[in-house]
Formats: sequence, C-alpha cells, structure tokens
Amino acid sequence: MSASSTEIFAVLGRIHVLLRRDLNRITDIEWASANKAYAMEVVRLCASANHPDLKALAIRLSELMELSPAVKPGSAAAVRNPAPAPMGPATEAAVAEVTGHAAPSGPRYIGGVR
Amino acid sequence: MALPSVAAIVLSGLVLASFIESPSTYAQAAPAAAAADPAAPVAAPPPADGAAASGDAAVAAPAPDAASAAAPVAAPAPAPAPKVEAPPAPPPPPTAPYLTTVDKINSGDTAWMLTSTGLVLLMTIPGLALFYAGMVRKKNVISVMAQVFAVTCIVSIVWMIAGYSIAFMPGSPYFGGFERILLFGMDFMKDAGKVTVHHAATTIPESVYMMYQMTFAIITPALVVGAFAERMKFSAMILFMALWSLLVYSPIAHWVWEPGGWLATMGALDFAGGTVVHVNAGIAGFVCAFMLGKRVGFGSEPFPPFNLGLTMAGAAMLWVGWFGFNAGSAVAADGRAGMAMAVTHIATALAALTWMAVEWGVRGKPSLLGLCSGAVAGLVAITPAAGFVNPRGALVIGVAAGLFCYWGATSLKRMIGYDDSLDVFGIHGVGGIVGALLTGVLVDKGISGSDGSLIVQATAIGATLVYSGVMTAIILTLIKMTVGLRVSEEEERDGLDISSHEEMVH
Repeated sequence: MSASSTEIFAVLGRIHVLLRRDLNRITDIEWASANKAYAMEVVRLCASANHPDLKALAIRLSELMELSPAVKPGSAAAVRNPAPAPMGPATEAAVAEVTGHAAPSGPRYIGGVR
Repeated sequence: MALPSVAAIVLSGLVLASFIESPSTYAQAAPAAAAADPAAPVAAPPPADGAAASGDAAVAAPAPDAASAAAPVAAPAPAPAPKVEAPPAPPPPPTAPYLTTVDKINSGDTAWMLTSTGLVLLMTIPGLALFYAGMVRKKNVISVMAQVFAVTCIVSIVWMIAGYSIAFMPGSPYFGGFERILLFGMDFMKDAGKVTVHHAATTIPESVYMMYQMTFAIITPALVVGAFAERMKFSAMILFMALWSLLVYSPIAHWVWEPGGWLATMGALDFAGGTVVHVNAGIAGFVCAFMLGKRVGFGSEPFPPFNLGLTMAGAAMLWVGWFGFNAGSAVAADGRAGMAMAVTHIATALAALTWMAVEWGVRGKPSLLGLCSGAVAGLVAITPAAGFVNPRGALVIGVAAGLFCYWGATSLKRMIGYDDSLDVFGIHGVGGIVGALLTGVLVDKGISGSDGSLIVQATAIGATLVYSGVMTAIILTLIKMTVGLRVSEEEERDGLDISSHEEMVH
C-alpha cells in the first residue's frame, strides 16, 4: 500500500462529491483509479467547470496519477487497463471519510469475489 | 409476594411432573404408530380401492387377538397345543401414487412438511437473492434479484405443468411418467374424505409433497444464476431456466428420488439433494460460465461486492431455511428428521470455522464473506448425508467442506481461469461432490438402515456431471443461436440494472 494510492483515492473521492453536488455528475472512483483515460476525462470535466476547488483537485489528480497529455482518451495506451494499485485499510478509511462509503481493497476482488 | 411464589413453585412442580410422565405416553404411542405403518402399504397396491383394503385390514387385525384371548376361557382343561403360524409376508411397498382416506394422513408429518416447504422457499426468496445481490457490483444488484425472483415464478409453473410428473411419477428408470401433467389426478375430495398420497410419502397429502419438491426444483436453477451473473440477457435466462428445469432437473430428480429411478435402485444415497441439487447446479454453473465467457474487465479490474451485509443476511436465511431442506427430507416429523437437523447445524458451523481459519492463515484476516461462504459450503456438503450420518460424521464433513470449498472457490478457480461470478461450481459443485462421497463412507446404518458404497456414490456423481453438463451445453447452444446469451459490452458496462431493467439501487 503506497501513500500515493491513498492520496489518489482521497482526491478522487473529493472530486466525486463535488461533481455530484455541484454539477450533478457521477464518477466511478475505482475505475478512475485503474484507467488513466477515464481519469483524464474526469480531470477535463473538473477543469472545464467553473469551480476553483475542482480545478485545484484536477491539477492535483493529474500530478498524482501522472496523467501526461500524451495519453489521449481513447488511445491504445489509454485503453489498455493498467493493473490497479493495491488498496489497504488506510485507503479504505480515506475513501470512506470523503465519500461516506467504504471502499473495498483492490486486489482482493480481481479475478474473484472470494 | 410470598404466596405467588409458592403458587409458582407448585405450578412448576405440576408442570415438571407432567413432563416426567409424558415419556410413557410417547412410549406407548410409538409402537402404536409402528404397528400402523405396516398397514399403510396394504392400501397401496390397488390404487383406487386402496383405502377400503386398508380399512378392512385394520378391522380384521384385532380379530385373531380376540380369538386367542377367548380361547383359554372356552377350553380350560386340555390346553391345545398352540398352532404356530408363519407371520404373513409384509405387503409390497406401493409403487405409484394412490387414493386413500384422510384418516391415514399424519397431521404431525403434514404440519412439519408444510413448514419445511415454507422454509425452503425462504431459502430462494429472499435468502439466495440477498446472498447473491450482496456479492455483485452495485450496478447489477437489481438484475440478480430479478433473475432469482423470475426463476421462482418460471419453475413453479413448469413444475406444475410437467416437471413434477417427469420427476416423481413412476415410468422408466430414466424418465418419469405423464400421469400428473397439469397435476391431473392429484386430488383431495372433502366430501368423500379421500386424498391422494405419493408412494414415497404416504403420511402426507400428495399436494404437500408436490409443493415441497417444487421448492427444491426452484432453488436448484436459482443457484445457477450466480455463475452467469452480471452478463446474461434476461430473456435468455428465462428460456434457459424453463428448459433446464424440465430437461435436466426433473430427470435427475427421477433417477435419484423416485423409488424406481435407476440410481435409487442402485442404492445411491442422497438424502436432500447433494447430487440432484448441488452437483447438478454446480456443473451447470460451470458450463454456463464457460459458454458465456468472462465479464468485461474480469481479471484486470476489481469487482467489489455491493454490500456484504446483504450477503450475510442471505446466508443466515439459507442456514435457517436449510433445516426445512434437510430435516424436511425425512418427510416426517420423527427422529431421523431431528438427527438430520442436528448434523446440518454441526457441519455448517464447523465448515464456517474451517473456512475462516484457512482464510485467516492464508490472507491474514478472517472475512465475513469467508464465514458466510464456509457456512454455505457446510450446508451443501451435509445435504446428501443429513439423514445418514451421525454427529461425529457431521464434524468430518464440516471440516472437509470448509477445506475443499475454499480451494474450489479460490485456487481451483484461478487454475482453470473461468469466470464463475459467484463461485457456484467452487462451492455447490465441489461441496456436493465432497458430501456425496463422504456419505458413502460415513453412513450410519443405525440411523438410516442403509449401507453406503463409495462406488455407487461416485457413479451417481459422474452420471449427474455428465448428463447435466452435456444438456446444459446443448440448451445454451440453442438459446445462443436464437435469442443470444449475453448483453452487449456497452450494456454490461452500464450495468444490467439500468440496461435490462431500467432500475437502480441507491
């Protein structure tokens, strides 16, 4: 469990809440953490919104996930699913704190629910 | 305050005294019931007039006793040598449903079977629906619940139309007769005081037996839903379930549970459905998972369960309902039913603990899902053995179920590399096989009067695996060529709740 993963989930959680509350848009936090193309689309949405907090969070998310402009949404590199980062109790707590919902740990539910 | 206390003590003493006396009452009642039992089959051979024959036999029976009692009075001096007569040969057991008088119905047995029927239905709706809904992703919760509910409705009608007749009417050893198509012939005539009974359950009305077996027919295909969850078309699912129930479940139930079925004749032991229900559903799920293919993102994305609290509630309902499943399979409110209930509970508890211990050791933490999964594994494995093994045998089955089903749902699944969404084969298939085999080893003749054979048990398992596997593949192929099996990738990504039902959970 890396500290950056915890932070990614925390930032995504805050983005999720703000987008839902202010723009009535729903995002998938786990998918955004696993797929850079989707994360870039979230960043684009945040950046286009007239919302200073969302703009700041978009910049922060881009840094944390290393969303380089070279990775265009829909490109082969972006579509390829990177292995999601493992998530442990600290991440779960961070996500739960931000979103109000407990998040499951990533590797546990890859390839089977048990 | 003192007076009520004294009164309470006196009352308690009276109640206690009545309990102490009661065993003698029961001890008298038991032989009477035992004496009545042999008379019941007498009614069977002539199905139409069976009741009258039974009534004559019951009236005629006391006559010899009365004559022998009077004999010493009539001829006191030279006591004639008693004439030794060979006891009459026991009448052959009935081989077909028959009409009898309502006084032959045992109200205790009937009450228990009515209760068991409700318990087993509770296992499917809402038990299994909740158990599965908690394990799928949030966008597929409605879908799984709708599928389980729809299966309940479809199979009920299919069972009424033809399933019951194919499964439980005497016919060939491989396929039942058509005497009960649309349930024609299953009667209750209030004014005449007559009712039909099934030859495998002569103390309860046939309607109760048919309903009890219907709940088994419902839950078996409903279990398969877990294998193709989150990707199958609803229309394809409905077609599949109707055909599968009729062409796979009913014949296999006939093989094992109709007294003339070929596996029953061979001596296969399956008290409540280890092969008929669990091996059958397990291998069908295995084939479904292969033929439908993996879900989009399987193996690369996490598929987090929606709410394991729902899963635990569902597992608890399954556990409670399973008492109707296993103890109800005694088809009587008797000692064997009590033993079946006891071993069911013991094996379940130990299997849950075993799974928990293994998971704790392997992954470092015991999970709620692991406990629930272990409990279900134990319930599955004890199912074929419930009326055959003693409590020590239940301990062995509990440990084996926890170990093998954990392996089946984790290592085996990854080794094979298929996407059985909710581990139908890993738990029901593997657990059913383990339980059926161990039944042949651990059978207690004192409980059941039966001997076990590992070879016969393996034959029953093998036949079920082959027939169910092949027929499931054929049915799925036919549906794939007509309406198709899977939703589109886009619909799958959106989730079946929205794409198939236009509903969602909040």
